[in-house]
Amino acid sequence: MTHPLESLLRETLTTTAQSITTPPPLPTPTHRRTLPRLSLSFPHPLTAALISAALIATVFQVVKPAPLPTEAATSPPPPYQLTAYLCVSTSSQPSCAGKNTTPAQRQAIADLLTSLPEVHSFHYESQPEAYTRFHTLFPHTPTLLSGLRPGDIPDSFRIRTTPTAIPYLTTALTPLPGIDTLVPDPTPQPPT
Amino acid sequence: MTADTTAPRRRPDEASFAALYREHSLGLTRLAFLMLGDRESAQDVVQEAFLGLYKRWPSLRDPTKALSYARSSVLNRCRSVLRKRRLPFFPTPELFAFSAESEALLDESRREVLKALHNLPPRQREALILRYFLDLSEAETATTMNITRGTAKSTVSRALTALSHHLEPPQ
Repeated sequence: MTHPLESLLRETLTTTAQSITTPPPLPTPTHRRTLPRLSLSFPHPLTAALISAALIATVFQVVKPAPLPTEAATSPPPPYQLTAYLCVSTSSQPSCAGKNTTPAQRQAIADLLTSLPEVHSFHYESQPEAYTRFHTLFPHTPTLLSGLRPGDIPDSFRIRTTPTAIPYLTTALTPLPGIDTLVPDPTPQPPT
Repeated sequence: MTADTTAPRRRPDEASFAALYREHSLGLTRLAFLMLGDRESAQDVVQEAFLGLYKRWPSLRDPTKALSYARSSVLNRCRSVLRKRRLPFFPTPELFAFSAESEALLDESRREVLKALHNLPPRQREALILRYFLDLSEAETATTMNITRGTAKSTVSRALTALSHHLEPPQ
């Protein structure tokens, strides 16, 4: 049944709708919020630091890591890895207070790592190195890369250790200033 | 915290999202415009709906239902806007149906229809717009409005009756 009202309604709606000729713009943000926006389903836009840390940590398990400089590796290196991400100014961790880790704090962390027998070896990845590696890991996402600056990816200590030592190391490292997050890798790393 | 930051996350498929935006953002803006009666709110609603959709894009199970999801999202946001307009200190913008622009664009009888449409309850207006502007079937209307098929049918029928009462007030 086609009621005259139905066809009148149909025409009215169509004509009215045609007064809209352009959809709303959906611009890509140009400032540095690009990185947190990508992971919008996090409860709070955590930080560029944490999210990129997660991305790196995830992909790091897939891509075989470059050989780490080790300190006189006599026995085969233990398969487990713990990553200590350092503070960057965009971090939301209260312990970071929005500041980069100072060289003195970094040295203190390195000293502690050297003194702990549980640490098999460790490797410091600087912010430029992390930034470069991020670029090689995500070459096909220009939107992501265009909003990224060298300081967005935190520097980190990558620590080789045994799975049993991870809780102990976490406790030992947590009180140190300048550490943003400690991320244990859940899967065994291939020996290098 | 470490658990959720290390969990692998699927990244949004940018190409399919862009395609949806290209093909349907105009149609959805028109839908929101008919619901809300003013251009700015309609654009805001669609923009927010697409942002919300982008957020959910990686966890969308069935990509063929993306359009229907977007439609529901636009309609839900329209409902919120309409609800807010009923609050005090929330001035309703000038509606297209009552503007000089519509006088230039529509003849008298169509303007009457449009005004009557804005006097209907939002759900009835929604049903009419889905049925007669988007030409959705009863089943699709029901899915988009998240109601049963029977309810969709009766809402459309009641809305048509109400509309004709608005147009020809009983003597």
